[in-house]
Amino acid sequence: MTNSVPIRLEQVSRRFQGKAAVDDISLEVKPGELLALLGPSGCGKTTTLRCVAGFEIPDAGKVFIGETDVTTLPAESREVGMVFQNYALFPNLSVAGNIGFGLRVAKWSKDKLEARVQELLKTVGLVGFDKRAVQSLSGGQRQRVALARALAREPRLLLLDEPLSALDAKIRIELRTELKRLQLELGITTLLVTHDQEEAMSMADRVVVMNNGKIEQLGSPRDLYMKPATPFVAAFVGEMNLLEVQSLGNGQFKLLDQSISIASIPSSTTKLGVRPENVTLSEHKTQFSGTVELVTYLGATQQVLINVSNQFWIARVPNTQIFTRGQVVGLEVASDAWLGM
Amino acid sequence: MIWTVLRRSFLVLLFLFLTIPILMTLIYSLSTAWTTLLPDGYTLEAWQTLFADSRFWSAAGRSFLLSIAAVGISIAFLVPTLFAVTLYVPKLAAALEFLSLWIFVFPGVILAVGLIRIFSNPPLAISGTPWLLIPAVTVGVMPFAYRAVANAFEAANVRELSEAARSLGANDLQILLWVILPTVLPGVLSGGVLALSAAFGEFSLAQLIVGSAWETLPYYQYLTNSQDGHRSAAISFIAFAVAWGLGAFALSQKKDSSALVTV
Repeated sequence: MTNSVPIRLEQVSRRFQGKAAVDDISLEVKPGELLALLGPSGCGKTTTLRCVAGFEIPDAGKVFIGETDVTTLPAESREVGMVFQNYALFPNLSVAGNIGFGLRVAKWSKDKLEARVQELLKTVGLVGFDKRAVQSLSGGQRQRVALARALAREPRLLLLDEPLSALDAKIRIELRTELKRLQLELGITTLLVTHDQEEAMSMADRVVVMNNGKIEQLGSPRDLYMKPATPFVAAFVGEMNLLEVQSLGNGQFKLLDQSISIASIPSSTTKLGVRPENVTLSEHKTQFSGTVELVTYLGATQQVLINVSNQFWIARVPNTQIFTRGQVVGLEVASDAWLGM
Repeated sequence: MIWTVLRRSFLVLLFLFLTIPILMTLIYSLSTAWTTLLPDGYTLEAWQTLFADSRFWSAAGRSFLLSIAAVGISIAFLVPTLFAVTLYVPKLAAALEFLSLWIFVFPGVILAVGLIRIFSNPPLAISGTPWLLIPAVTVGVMPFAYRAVANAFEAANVRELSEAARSLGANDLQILLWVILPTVLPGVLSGGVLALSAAFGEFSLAQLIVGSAWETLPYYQYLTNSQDGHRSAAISFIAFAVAWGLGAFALSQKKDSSALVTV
């Protein structure tokens, strides 16, 4: 598909009973880009998506698809493909009936419709399933039907509302890859809503982290992880040890009676963050020391919870190191691994 | 152990409580006379007379027509109405249900007398005809039909299905006819059985509005009762059998519609 279009939201707000679900949001999805809206439930990500789909009309602001202002255009005229959280397959129709629904509405001829349905079955890997009842399908297969149905009319945009959250972990990861591959192949502008940071990070070109109806940060997955703009993003995207510090000026900070020197962080900072994988543990005393509270084995790595003067730190270390509960360990953080919050 | 015994005895008692009256009705319809503990003798006479009477067959036919028409009309009215309410004014659903229950406030007699007064004069002099009885019974079964349709709607996630269809370009009429109606119909039909039996057994409206001019089965039974109790008992048993048959049909439909819900 070559006719990829951008999506633009200009100062969009949507209130429910006086409370803003979406609060003055502006953002742009580039043509062919997959943008993820990431956040906890109730953060406004789904409402934002529904404003693009046409199921919600913003109380303020404008929505553009391509160069067209679609703010008040009815959903049925927007030419967007949408995959719903629970798929919303039509239970009275077969797999082919579901996939061909949009084409039937558009009055395609029987031959053309059938050919297109076959083509889509091939795309989503369900050849031979056309006559099956949707009730007889597994979750992953239903998801594929929902996707094929959304793509049938070659929509200008693809909207995915928690498309994988109803699936088992294994199928979820499988379909994640497949969905991303298909999206790249079609080059279709895609908006993905998810509460799963791993899903957002692995699929999206850029991620918007939302909280309380506002954008906390917009950036590439790498940016969000390496340079989280707020403590919320730091904690929501990956894991983060957040520690209260006292600034001593000149890049010096006091943390648990120890002074550490980080020139790159402004003196106004009151919280420092460090990712668990950047905390190294050793059996001898180092800068900080603490007692092992819990060791969680994760396969290639293990997660160690350490009590450091009644603050809990999480460290992620290789599985070659052996720690036991109650053991006193030394903790070290390279000075460039600290993030100012 | 003791609890198992108690539980089983309770179930047996309940079963007897529910079936003995029906069984007795059947036995009575088959008896010659019943003066002691057991009937004095058995005969098929009541059943033969009943089945030979063409009035019985026309009355049964009218009752079927009446109940199917009344339930059909109320469902045909309720499905689009609830569809519109669910999508556009969900807050109105409670008010609608309250309105549908309103009929319970009026005893049938009052309703019938009121209707007869209004519809005995031109421009709409339809009193004494099924043209008044059918709408009256339709309103009478509305509370049952409402629950049937509302339950089917709740089970089917109408809102999300409609949104899915809308995002595929469908308008409201296409959504209603191609998606919602076929999806909710099994649930509506199984729930509608209750409405159907209510309409089938409707007596007071039928007696007052049409009476012998358009004899329904309950009215025919009422007349029969004064002539021959055995025949009347036979009609009761037939009514029970029909209700069971419909109930079994409803249960089988229920299974299908619950399979739809898991989608």
